[in-house]
Amino acid sequence: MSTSTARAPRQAHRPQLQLPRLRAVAPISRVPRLPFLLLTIAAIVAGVFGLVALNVSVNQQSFRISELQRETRLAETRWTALQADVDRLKAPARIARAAKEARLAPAGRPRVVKWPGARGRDVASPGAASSPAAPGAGLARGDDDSGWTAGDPFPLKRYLAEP
Amino acid sequence: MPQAKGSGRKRPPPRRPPQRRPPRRRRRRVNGRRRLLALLILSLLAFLAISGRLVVLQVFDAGSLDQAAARQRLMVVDLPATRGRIFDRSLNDLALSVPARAIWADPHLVKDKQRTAARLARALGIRKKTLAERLASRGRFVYLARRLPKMRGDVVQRMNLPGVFVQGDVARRYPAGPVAAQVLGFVDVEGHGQAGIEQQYDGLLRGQAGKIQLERDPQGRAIPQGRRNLEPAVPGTDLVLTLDQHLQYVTEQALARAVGQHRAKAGSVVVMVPRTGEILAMANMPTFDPNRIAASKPEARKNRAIADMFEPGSTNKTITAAAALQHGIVTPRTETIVPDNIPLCPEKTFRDSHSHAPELMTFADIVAKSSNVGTIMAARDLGRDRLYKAELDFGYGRRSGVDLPGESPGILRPAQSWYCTDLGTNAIGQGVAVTVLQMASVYATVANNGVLRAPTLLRGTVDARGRVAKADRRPGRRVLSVRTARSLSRILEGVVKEGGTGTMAALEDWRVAGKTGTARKPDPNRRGYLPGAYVGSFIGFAPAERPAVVVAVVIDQPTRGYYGGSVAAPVFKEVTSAALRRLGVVPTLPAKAVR
Repeated sequence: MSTSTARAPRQAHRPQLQLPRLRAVAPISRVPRLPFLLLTIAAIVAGVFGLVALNVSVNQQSFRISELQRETRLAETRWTALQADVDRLKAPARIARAAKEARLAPAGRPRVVKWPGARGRDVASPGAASSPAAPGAGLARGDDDSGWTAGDPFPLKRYLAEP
Repeated sequence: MPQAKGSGRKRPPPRRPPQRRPPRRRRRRVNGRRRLLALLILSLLAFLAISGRLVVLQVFDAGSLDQAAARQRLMVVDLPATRGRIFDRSLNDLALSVPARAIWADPHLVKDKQRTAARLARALGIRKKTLAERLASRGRFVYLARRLPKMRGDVVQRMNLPGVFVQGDVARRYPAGPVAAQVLGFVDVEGHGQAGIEQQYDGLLRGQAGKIQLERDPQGRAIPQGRRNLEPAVPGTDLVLTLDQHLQYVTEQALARAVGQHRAKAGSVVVMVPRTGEILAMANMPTFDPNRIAASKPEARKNRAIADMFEPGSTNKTITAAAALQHGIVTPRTETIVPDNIPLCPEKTFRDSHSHAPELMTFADIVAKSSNVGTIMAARDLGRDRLYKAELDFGYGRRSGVDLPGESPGILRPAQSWYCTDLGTNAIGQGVAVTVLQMASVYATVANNGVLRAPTLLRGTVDARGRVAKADRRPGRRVLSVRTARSLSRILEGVVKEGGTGTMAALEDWRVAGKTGTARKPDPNRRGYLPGAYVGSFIGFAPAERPAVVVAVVIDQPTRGYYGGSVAAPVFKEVTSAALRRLGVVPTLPAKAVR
């Protein structure tokens, strides 16, 4: 009894709560997260795949370059070996041996016929008054007017010198 | 409220003194602080240790560690420079480098050395014993074979022998074999020139080695997209020589036949263009194949044309005649009564090769018939100093400057130290020593209207970028007047005509001027001459009226015939004929040339 009497004044002194007025609001529409998630994952996956693809492509090119460089080296090696073979086959001793086997005779004395009215020269054109084995006879005249620098006698050399 | 003492109520059991709890809490607090402090100190120490180590690693040892990491990750591959090629004047390859293979072994990794040696012996064509000895080496690297053809290397590679490895190598090849062997020289295992042009121009031919730095994977394979630093090798410079491969071959064949036919000890031929000093051919017998250098003998590798000296004998009379003509002592038509001996000094009488009654001879006849007495008579009028100067002017006693190593200067004693007899001996080519090339230069000077051109073998170079450069030419030096040279040329034409000593050198289609020589060989062990040992020579040029080529032939110690006119003149004829055809020179004897 005494307890209830003691509480009553407290309730009496409790201030009136001003509760906000409740009103109805529209239900909050929840944005679906799954598409966003999927889109993000797809973007990340696409980016990663893109980067990987790019890297693979770059590496493929590197491998291709390496392969081509190796092929170039092999081709150069093969060219040099073939050049050595050609030189060996062109060796005068081998040609002389082959000519002998074929029963060819050395060229005889040179015959020079002067065409009437032609101006005389002391040096014949290559092959005109020399043996068949005289290509380049004009080169052997000795002075610097032989034209040995003409043309491009070393195309491969020039190619190899390029970086 | 406190209760009074002594009340009747039961005393509660004594409690623990309440004051004991606070001290326990304090200790715990103290211990916690200490632990924290210890932890802090430990952390600091650890931090300091780590920092110190980092400083050591990042500052003090950074360089060496960086290098160690680089060594682990990067590999450096040497890129050997390709040695330059050597061409003849028509750009035929005389020497070139081709890829080859080297076989090496780590003897520690070879399991069964005897079996490995046996298998390799079959594949490489090397004796098993030799290979076994190499495999018994204590080192970790031993070459088993080098400069092998690529195919053989591939065979060894396929064998997959433990401890045996195949690596790239370069082999020097001389496609024409022995052709111009002494001129070209050869290279050692490392590819360095050891003789001839290979040695002379080693610096140009060698090029500059490069290297490539590559990143490698744990298996040691290069990572294609990894880091790579390339220092490209610079290939060696190519040389274009003045030699003509075809003419060189023909010359060597002719010389070999003569040396064999006359059972001579050796022989040399030099073919030169008098107008430029370019050497078209330089042949020596015996010879060798530079592709098989190990099988060659040292005497075969010697370039006798520039290294060996000989007494020129009568071919030296050309110098005496030139000096006498130049100083107006004689003319080609000067007539003299020539006996068959002349007492030049009290103790020395010079004689002709054949005894004869005193003859009235022109100076041209004296040269054509190679009279010792007539030549010495002209030399006596010329005098010691002028004869010596003429020999000096023609290049005796000093190197010609040809671009080859090992050239001999010859021997020409100063005039001041000549004995009484030296005037006579020098006049007829005894007591003086020259090389074949020096003698060729003498006749080239006469052929070139009195201008001496230094002999040369280099026509030009082609560098790694394909740039062509002509070789420098030294200016010529006038030794004789044009008039003297032409007079002398006409006199020398008489040598190959009927009645001369060199008729076997005459050509059917071109006029020839030249001189025979037959000299005794000095005894290398004592004063005097070797009994029955001679050097036969013929040196001349053609066409005589406008010389295109000079040919010097020297046959050393022939045993079947020894006169220059019989052992050397035929070689001159064959070589000169081939050279003139090769050069495309139109025959100058019209009656015979046009049929």
